[in-house]
Amino acid sequence: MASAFEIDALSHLDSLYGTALRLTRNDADAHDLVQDTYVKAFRARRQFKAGTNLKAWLFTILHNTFRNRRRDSGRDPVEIDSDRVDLVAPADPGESPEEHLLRAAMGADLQAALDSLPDGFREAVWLRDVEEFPYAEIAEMLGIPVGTVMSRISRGRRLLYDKMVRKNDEPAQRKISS
Amino acid sequence: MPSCREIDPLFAPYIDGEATADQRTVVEAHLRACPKCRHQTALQSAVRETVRTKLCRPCAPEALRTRCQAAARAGMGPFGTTRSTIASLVMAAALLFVVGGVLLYALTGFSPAVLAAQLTLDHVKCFAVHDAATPIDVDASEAQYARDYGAPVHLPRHNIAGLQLVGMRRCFCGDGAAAHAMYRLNGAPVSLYVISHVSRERASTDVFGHDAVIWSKGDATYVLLGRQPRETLEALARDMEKQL
Repeated sequence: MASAFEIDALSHLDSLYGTALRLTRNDADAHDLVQDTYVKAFRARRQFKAGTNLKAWLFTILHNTFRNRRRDSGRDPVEIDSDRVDLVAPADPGESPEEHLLRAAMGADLQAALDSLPDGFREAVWLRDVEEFPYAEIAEMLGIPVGTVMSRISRGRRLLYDKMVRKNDEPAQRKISS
Repeated sequence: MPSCREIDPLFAPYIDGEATADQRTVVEAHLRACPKCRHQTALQSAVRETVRTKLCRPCAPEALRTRCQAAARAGMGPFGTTRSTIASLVMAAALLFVVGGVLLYALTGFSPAVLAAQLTLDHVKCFAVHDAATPIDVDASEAQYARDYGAPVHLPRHNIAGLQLVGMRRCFCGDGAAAHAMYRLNGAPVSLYVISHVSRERASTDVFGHDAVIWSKGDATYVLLGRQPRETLEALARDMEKQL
């Protein structure tokens, strides 16, 4: 018979899988990452303090497992050159950001745009905007200060906007120039 | 009034409802006076709403759910090891086989941790390569092993529910001096190595995420290992030892 811990832990499977997909951008790797996360969680279940946030604990294991794998393969998942993330182009005075983005989202693949962000930005935006974790929990999961979480979310959103809008505008600009 | 650069870090917490009351007051005063920052906050807010409404978390495939449920039941994965871990352990095992000359000594003279490490790599390799899953008869397996390798091996009988013999092989560690009995305990791999003509002190250890229990009886040494909790393996080892 399944234990309460098992039932609670497995209830977060969809969230872990979705996040693993965004981190790895590969279905087979996401499967392995989630399974590894559960293996580690069940083996370390005595270290989990009852009454604390199990979902955040599982996400911490997921993030650390992903980071260790990337490190083993010679890549750092949170290597971000913030200076290279420019602010978006000036606004079109005739269109609000909402309208501009909505138009862009109709013609572009939002998920592909998110997947193209650097790891640290992609993870922060996903954890906040889809999984709706508070800043403090994201900071604890990722092992970074809350200020860095805010910065990554903010810059990640701007970069995403830039990618969406620019991608959507490119065909039109090409048409005009030709 | 703070400059745009100074106020910029507060836009995300302002939009996400994580700013304090004082911070909200400062941000709102700035936004009333600054069209450029109003655009920046509207932009962030639009991205947030678009991601929230257009990107949904996918449902995990049923196959993954089954794998994770098996991990929960066994306190480990269905095999306890994913492809990448298998690859690294098999590579480590291959390196150890290259220096095979030291392995016989490892079975007899090295520490329990080194012995457990050698055999854990063999355990992982054998279950990865052979994927043994079908229960086999103990008496028939012993007879077959004696015919194939000319070395009779007596496996302990046991009274553990859920434990099934699924394979019987000659272990290459120690120049073939050990017999490898492959079991599954409620589906999860467990190995028992029987090393003839070797006696060691009783020991327990853990290596590569596996626990191992080592004991000797008669003129043989037994090593039981798997990813189960130490207490499970200890109980299994005690039961097997009684049956020898």
